[in-house]
Amino acid sequence: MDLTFEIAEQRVDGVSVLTVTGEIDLATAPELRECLVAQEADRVPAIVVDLTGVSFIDSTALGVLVGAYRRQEDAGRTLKLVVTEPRILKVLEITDLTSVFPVFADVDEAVHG
Amino acid sequence: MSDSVELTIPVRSDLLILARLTAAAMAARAEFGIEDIEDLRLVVEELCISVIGTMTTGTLHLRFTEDDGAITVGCSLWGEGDEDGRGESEPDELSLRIIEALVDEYGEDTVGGRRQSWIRKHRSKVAS
Repeated sequence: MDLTFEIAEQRVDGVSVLTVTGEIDLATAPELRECLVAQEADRVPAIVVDLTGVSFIDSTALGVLVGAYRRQEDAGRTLKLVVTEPRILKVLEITDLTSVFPVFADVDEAVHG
Repeated sequence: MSDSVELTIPVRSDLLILARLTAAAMAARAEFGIEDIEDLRLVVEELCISVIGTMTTGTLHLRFTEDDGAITVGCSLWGEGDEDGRGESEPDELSLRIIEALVDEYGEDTVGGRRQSWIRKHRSKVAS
């Protein structure tokens, strides 16, 4: 269980990639939201949120991601997720969000997909 | 015979991890599998979030009870100006979907004059 929450930002072929590690919960979701809003302000065509290193995600975090996805869609842009951890995928499936977000197995696929 | 553990924490987002850790410890002690433990951790987080609602002050009171292969978690809010034991808002849709999918029972009742939300999850049977 990795309790250290971190977000690393990088640009890959013009796409903003946010690599999140640790647990995204009521305490850390606001930091994710701030980071997403900053990326949205840069008007990049796509934001990729890499959740490969995330060990826990709650409804607050999902709400942040859904909000960012909707804002991106409204602006004619997109937001994609990279998910490999079965626990995280399970939560997305339970909440039916796999039918909302484009979900990829790795960053390269998400950036170019 | 049942075992109970009570946890009282201030309404602070960074302290909800204590509720999750307690849930995980209780579940491990009750010989829940890893998947069930992770489910319970998430459900307890959602239970706390739904009870807190929009409240930013007060005290969150949780009672974890292990009984016959199941864990019951009751959660209520104690605070100034909130005598009925709940925050102002109802659980959001995502939170409800998670709770409904991962527990065997959930509901609300009144304990000591305070409304509490509760969940109950049974240990999954392991295929032999």
